[in-house]
Amino acid sequence: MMVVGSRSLLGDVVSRNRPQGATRRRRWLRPRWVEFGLLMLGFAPGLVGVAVLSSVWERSLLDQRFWPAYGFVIAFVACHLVLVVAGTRSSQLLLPLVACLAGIGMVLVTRLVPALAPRQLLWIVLGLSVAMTVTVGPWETYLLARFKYSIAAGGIVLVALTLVAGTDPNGSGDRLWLGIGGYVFQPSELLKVLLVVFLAGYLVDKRNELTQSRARLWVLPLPPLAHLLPVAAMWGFCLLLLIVQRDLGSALLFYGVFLTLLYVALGGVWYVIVSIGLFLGGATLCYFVFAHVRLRVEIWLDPWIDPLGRSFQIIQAMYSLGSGGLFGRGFGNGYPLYVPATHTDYPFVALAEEAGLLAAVGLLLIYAVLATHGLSMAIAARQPYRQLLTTGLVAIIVLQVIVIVGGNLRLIPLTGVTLPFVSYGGSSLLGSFLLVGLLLRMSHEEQMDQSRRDNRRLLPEPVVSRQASNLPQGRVGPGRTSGL
Amino acid sequence: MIPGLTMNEATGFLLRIIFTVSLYAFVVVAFLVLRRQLRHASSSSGPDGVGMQPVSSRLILHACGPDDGPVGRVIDLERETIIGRRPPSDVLVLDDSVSSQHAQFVPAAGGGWLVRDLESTNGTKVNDLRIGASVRLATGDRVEIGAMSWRYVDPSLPFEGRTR
Repeated sequence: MMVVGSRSLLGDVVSRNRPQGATRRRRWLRPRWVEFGLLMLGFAPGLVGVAVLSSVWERSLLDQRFWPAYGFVIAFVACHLVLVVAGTRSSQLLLPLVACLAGIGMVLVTRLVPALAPRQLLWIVLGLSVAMTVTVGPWETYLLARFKYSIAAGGIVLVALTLVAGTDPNGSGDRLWLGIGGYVFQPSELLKVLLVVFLAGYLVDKRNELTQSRARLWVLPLPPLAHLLPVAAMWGFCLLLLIVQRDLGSALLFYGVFLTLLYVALGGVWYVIVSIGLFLGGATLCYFVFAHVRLRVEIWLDPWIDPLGRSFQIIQAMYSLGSGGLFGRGFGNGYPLYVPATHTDYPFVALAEEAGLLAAVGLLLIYAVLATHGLSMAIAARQPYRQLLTTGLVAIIVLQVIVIVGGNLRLIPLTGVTLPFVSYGGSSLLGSFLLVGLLLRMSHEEQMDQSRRDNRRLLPEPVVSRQASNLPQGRVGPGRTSGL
Repeated sequence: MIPGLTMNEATGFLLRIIFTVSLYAFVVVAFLVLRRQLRHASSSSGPDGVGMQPVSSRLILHACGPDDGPVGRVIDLERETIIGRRPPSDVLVLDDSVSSQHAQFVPAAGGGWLVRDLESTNGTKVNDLRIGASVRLATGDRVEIGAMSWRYVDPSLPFEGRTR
């Protein structure tokens, strides 16, 4: 019989099973030259943008207004050093991509609302600290899968708090923020990350039940209803968010991410068709029931119904976008401030006006590289949980970009989603950097696992034949032992 | 100097060009780094040529302790796979009787799979017999890993119908 000795969850067996030597011990100081070089390149657009501003505003490069932009460079270099010193083996491409995006965002904020630039820097520094804690901290991502229900509950409690104690700092009429001592925080930005953490864990757990079912409804394979419950709950939650919080953008984003994960985890096209059907149904329902949704759609379809009132923002954004040309008017030369709330809602349009079509496309290309890199990390990951979590986190960024850029270009109705890393906004930055931290962490763990596995891959040891290991002869089929 | 422009306008214009160029320089270099990584990843997936296997054998869970499940869970064996309770195992299980890295499944030369015990506390058994070194698996074999019992199925080899 087997003997199960008494030992703790992470007992001493761990050390016994690990190969001797290098891998378990942490190696400090691991150079990351690729990251360093790319970071230097990635700072360039932001810093050149500062130079443009200084020449247009006729202020010295050392003017106080530009300090936050320099502080941002220092913050990223510091992060790079933390990663080097801690000896992480995570992706070297991620931080420079984010730095370039954040640099462009920093220039935009400095140009649009100089008074807010120090705050933007503060949030970037906070976000980077969170990301670094997540990346080098002594924990492992599979713990997230284990505590998924607590994490989801925590996130939902945070959002529910806004229903009770929500504040509305900028007078938009929606109480989506939580105030703590003069600073406000929008929990739904954090919730989107927590949601992916939960969904990835849940789908990995229940993948088999959800895909291998016998019940059928006509041609639809029907999973056990008990397992569909969370899916239905998710749909209801998004709808609730939309109705109670009037947060169109977040609802759209959550649902999109949810759909992506469902498809990636289960691979069933029926789930997607049914979910899209539900979405269309819900969207149509909302259009007819809720005035604010109808308004958004109407001013999107025909902005000219009220050019000086409700659709003022959209029309100004169209003019702004159209006046940019190929190279733009140059930072500080355009009039992006005619668009209300440019720095949060229309950063893409502001960039297109002042830096031109080429820069706007360049920005999208950076997101494209980021997405490709993220998805290739997901493919390379060897554990389903990490695969799904990485996919989900990338999906958050991609969908956010699609929704906000689409809104800015008037391809879809505008919703209050931020352009990740670029828009002004503390909670959004914090959420996005947490996301980057998780991606860095997972790529680090993936590399560590790979090297442990390589260490374990011993020289081919002699394979004991089945006779030698005393297995009954009768089991061995004809010709199967001869292969060895 | 460009005619018709003041000094300041000319610098402004130049800086705008530099902005665009630096942005694209970054994009291109980042893309090249990404491409190199992708190539590297796809070429190094099987360092000794046994990384991938065309025919997917699988393990089906048919008995386990209360922490794990459900019975019927399927693991598709596609590359070297380690079962254990903790990373870097590829398949993570919860049962306390399973060691951190308990058993490893390795593609055998000439097709099929080997199972190898990774010095686990409770050992690995194939058809009730504790294994010492690697053992080659046949369709229908029962692999016991701690309190978990897996059935090995190789679609390229017929099920003999004699095991239970």
